[in-house]
Amino acid sequence: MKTRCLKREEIFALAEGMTDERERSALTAHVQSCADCRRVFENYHRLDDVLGQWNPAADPSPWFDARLRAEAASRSSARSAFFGLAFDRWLAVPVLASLLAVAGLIVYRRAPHRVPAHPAQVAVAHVPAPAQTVSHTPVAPQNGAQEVSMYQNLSVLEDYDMLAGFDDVISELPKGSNKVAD
Amino acid sequence: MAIDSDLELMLRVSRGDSDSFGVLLNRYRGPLLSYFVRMVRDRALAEDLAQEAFLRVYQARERYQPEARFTTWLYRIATNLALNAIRDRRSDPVVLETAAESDGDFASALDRAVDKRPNVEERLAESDRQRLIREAIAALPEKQRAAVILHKYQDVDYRQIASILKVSESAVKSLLFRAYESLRVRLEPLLQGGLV
Repeated sequence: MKTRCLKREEIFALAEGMTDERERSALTAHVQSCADCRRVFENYHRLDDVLGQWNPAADPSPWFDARLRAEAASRSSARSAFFGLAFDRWLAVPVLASLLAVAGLIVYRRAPHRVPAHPAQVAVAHVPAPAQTVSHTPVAPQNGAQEVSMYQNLSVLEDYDMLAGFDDVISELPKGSNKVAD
Repeated sequence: MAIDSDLELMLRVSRGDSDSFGVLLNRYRGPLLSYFVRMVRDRALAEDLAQEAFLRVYQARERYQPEARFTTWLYRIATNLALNAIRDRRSDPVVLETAAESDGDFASALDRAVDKRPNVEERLAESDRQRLIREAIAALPEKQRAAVILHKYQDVDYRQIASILKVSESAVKSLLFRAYESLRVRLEPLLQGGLV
């Protein structure tokens, strides 16, 4: 009596060596005794032979190793270019952003703080002013409005921190020394 | 002199021995390139991918854990690269077209195969046979294609293939069975003795 034929999957597994020892002996025994299963088994072997005929050229180019070495060196220098620390490229953006933020903060803290101009000053600023030069010689009495305009447009007068310092200096001067000599 | 195992070599590489990396490179440069050539069917792209695979191995050397065979790890990296390249190329019809044309492997294989066969008809038959096989494998779904190439051409056993493709062993058997059934149908003319 003929035993039941094997499933194609079982024959395939046998043909491709994907069975364990126990399965292999049982399947092999059946395939040897069953012409139909043997035909399927041999067909898989033929298919394997046909597939084995595809041999595309796959020789590496002569510069394969040199190119690989160069790229490996380039990538490892990119990793260690940050003060010798391991430094991945993805870290570059947050680290640089942090550095810029710190630098910006330092510059901001060192810069003289400017107080927004008084509305009156802004109004006067629209009036064309004479050349803004600071002279150590006393200013000759001129037209009063012109003189006020000139002083109000001097940028030094907008530096309130500096001007605040003058209060201390003036208070320490001997009485009467704050009079401008004629 | 005993041949150092891949594992020993890779452990030495992880300790900074670049000569051992050279030994691994010599050992797997050819097989890896042929894997990529069959997977992506584009000689230039295959070489780029092989370069990238070795670079990734080298870059990950310090994190290497000898949990699996070296080749399992290497082919897992390679398979991920190849599958990504295939997907990228699929979205670029221009590249796809040129890639098919630049399948120079076929021409050179033909040249080598037909050196001893001056007969023009045999050359043409060889050409047709190579084309049929190449196209039949290319028509397989990605994972089936990878499984067939690893199994048939790279001599990787199905347990390793399971680990490379991150599927179960029974899933690999199923993948291979379905792939071979498709190939059997597509390559029927060759199995019947045609084009020989």
